[in-house]
Amino acid sequence: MNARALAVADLDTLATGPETDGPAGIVTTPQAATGPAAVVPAAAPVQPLRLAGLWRQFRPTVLSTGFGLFMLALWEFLVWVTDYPPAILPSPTAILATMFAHRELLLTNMPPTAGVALGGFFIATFAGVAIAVAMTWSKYLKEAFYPNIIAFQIVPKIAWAPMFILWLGIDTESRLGFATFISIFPIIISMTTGLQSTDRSMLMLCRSLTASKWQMLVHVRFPYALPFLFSAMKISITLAMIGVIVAEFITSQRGLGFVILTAAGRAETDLIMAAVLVLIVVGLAFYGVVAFGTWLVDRWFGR
Amino acid sequence: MTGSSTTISRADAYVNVDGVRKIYNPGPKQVEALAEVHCRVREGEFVSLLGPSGCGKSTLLMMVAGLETPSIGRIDVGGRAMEGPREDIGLMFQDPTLLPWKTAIENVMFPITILRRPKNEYRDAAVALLTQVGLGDFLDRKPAQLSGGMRQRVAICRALVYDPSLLLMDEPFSALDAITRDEMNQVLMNMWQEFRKTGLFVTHSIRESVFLSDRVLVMSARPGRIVADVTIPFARPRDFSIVEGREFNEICAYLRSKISEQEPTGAKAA
Amino acid sequence: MASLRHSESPFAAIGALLGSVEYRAAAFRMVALPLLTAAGVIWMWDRTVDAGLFPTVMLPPPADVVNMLVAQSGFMLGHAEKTFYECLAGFVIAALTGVGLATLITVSRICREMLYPNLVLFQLIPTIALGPLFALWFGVGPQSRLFYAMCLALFPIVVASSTGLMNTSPYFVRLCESLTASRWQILFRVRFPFALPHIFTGLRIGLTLAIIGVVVGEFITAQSGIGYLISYASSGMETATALAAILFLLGVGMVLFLMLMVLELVLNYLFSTHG
Repeated sequence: MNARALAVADLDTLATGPETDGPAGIVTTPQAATGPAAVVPAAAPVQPLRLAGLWRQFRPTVLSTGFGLFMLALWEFLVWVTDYPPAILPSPTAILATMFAHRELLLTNMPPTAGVALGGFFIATFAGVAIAVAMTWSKYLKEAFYPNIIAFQIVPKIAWAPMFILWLGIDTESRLGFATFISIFPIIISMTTGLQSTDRSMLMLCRSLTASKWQMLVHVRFPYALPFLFSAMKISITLAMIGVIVAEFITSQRGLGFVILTAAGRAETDLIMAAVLVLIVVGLAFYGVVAFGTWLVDRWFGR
Repeated sequence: MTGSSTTISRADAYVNVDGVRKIYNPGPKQVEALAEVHCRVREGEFVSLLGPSGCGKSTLLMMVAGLETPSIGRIDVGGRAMEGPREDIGLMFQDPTLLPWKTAIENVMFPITILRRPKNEYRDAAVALLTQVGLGDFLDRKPAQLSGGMRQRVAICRALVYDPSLLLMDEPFSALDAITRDEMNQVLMNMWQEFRKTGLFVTHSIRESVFLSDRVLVMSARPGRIVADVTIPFARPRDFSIVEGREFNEICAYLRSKISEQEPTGAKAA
Repeated sequence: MASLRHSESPFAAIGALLGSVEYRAAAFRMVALPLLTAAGVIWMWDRTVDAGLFPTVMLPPPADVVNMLVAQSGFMLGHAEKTFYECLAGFVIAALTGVGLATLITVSRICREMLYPNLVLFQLIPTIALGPLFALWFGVGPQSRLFYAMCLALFPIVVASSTGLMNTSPYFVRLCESLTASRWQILFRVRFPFALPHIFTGLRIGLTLAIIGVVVGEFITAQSGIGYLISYASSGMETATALAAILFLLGVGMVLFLMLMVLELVLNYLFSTHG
């Protein structure tokens, strides 16, 4: 009996409703009551209803996870069956095996990438907030620079990567500088918007209490802008990672980008994918920390 | 039934609005928000500014608060000309405008932080105020956990905690439902009874203005002018039962007629 | 003019001539100030280079960059064209695939429940990091950059388009259903017009990513194209060339976005008059 028929049957039962009588769990149906006293165990009508409801609730999760797992299994199977060269497409298990086998390589190359990205992100956050505060403080600064900042966004910042290497050398400084450069703009833009978007009534109230510009900034504007800052931080940390990896593609001796590049040169596709897996985990961890921060801010706001 | 601003002498007036006009965007496309307003408020009086939407009553209130300046004319409060915001004026808006990350008691203490006064001197007063409006058990709740009426009560306490001499209120109860609004009128009445500040209250509810005030100033539609100054004869403390009485409704009718006189034909008064 | 008497600053004076003083003066200032600042920065750049604060290899004077632009414009245009076509092709494929997938997801509930969560999950993969992999798979020719750009651009397009198509007001959909409209009719007459803003937001993000993909692809593989030019010039310390190339990239980007904008205007017009 498929789920749909079950569901229809349940609705019929619900319409008339079994009546509960006597000790809990004992149910007499209306028809049974008229004939010779019959007692029907409660299990029969209730169970299908619960199953149908459960299926309806979990079907999306089951379908999507099932599809994902199915594709993974198909991938594994196809590679195994066609004996595809691992240089082109390694099977999922092969990737995991490589990840384990090369774990030292991956672990030593993770900190250069992750650390530089994190460093660039922190500098970008502090500098970006400072710039946004400066532009909120002085109306003229904002009118002079903010439109230029917005216009500057048109050029894909990734194109500047080689220039940073030219300017700052082939070592960590250039990657740090580039990561900062690429991740500072969302912070500036979001924070400036946030600082400007404080409720007008609140500002008028502060003004009526003879509050100074600085007091309004610290006590009112800045806290109101925190949600904006955190949503920009999510974008920034992702951009910082991307920036570091691309810089490593161009020139480096360390880092996961370097691993991927050299692995591609040696047609070690499984290592590439293993490195990407590590990147995913690191990226998720960073993003998760920022998301947690966002949740904390929301809690603080009483939501 | 009418009293008049002209019977209050300049010396007696705590708030003196003298020939005030407000013009936005001077030039060929100018907008005249207020056309020559004269009015006086005695110390300890509670006066309502009643008028249709857009008549400039909020603008006038902002000018008394020192947040805007008149294009022509001057405003004196407490004998000194208003040249900017002052520390002894309390302000309330239609929106309670509480800081969402601060608790009720912290929101009430917020002006003390801004005014850089010692917190311990005012903490007891803040607690007492909140208890008086019935929020004694909600001191540590954040605004998200309070209803609209409760938030406005916090706003009232915040406006009173630093002991201002003048209380300015811009339609503070307009956003509340009718039942809560009546409750809040009573709460405000009780608080005012206790603290006896000078009060200027902007509203477009005739009932509210008559219930709360000593005098009601009726403003015309834009450009706003004072077209009537009505003294409300009911003795204080007032009970909500007067709202049902004949005299109350006669005054309301009179005010309504004053407002309709100013409306362009076809428009109905609030 | 009476209004002139009120004005004090030269900006206001000019603004007064045009009409209401306060607003026109402010508007003029909002345009003039950033432009003046940009000009000021370029001027400072020129002066610092002239004073010898930076070696010319690091920062050439602005004049050099302009010279390079003009002198080598033909040569650079050739590279820019290559990049342009690669971006365009990658983007168009991603757009068609993306919107097509989004349509499928909207129409079929099974597809939606199977695919959509996986698609959202797929966005976690830093596809940019896979650049070298695409080079390995497809070689150093334009195909690898094309597929790279396509994969980068695909996911935001699908997600944004699906969101737009699925989130049409359910009341509207019910109304059409009650008029016995078929699923496809609802799709084209109701969902698409409503979803256009979302779809185009996704397309804009996708276009940005496609450009990034082609440029990064050229960093890794190419022997031609703007990305290659920037990379090559930087490593050869030919800074003026690199900066000029970046300016060309700006041009390529602007042309592509302009084309997208025109498409948006055309579609909006079509759907609004025949809606």
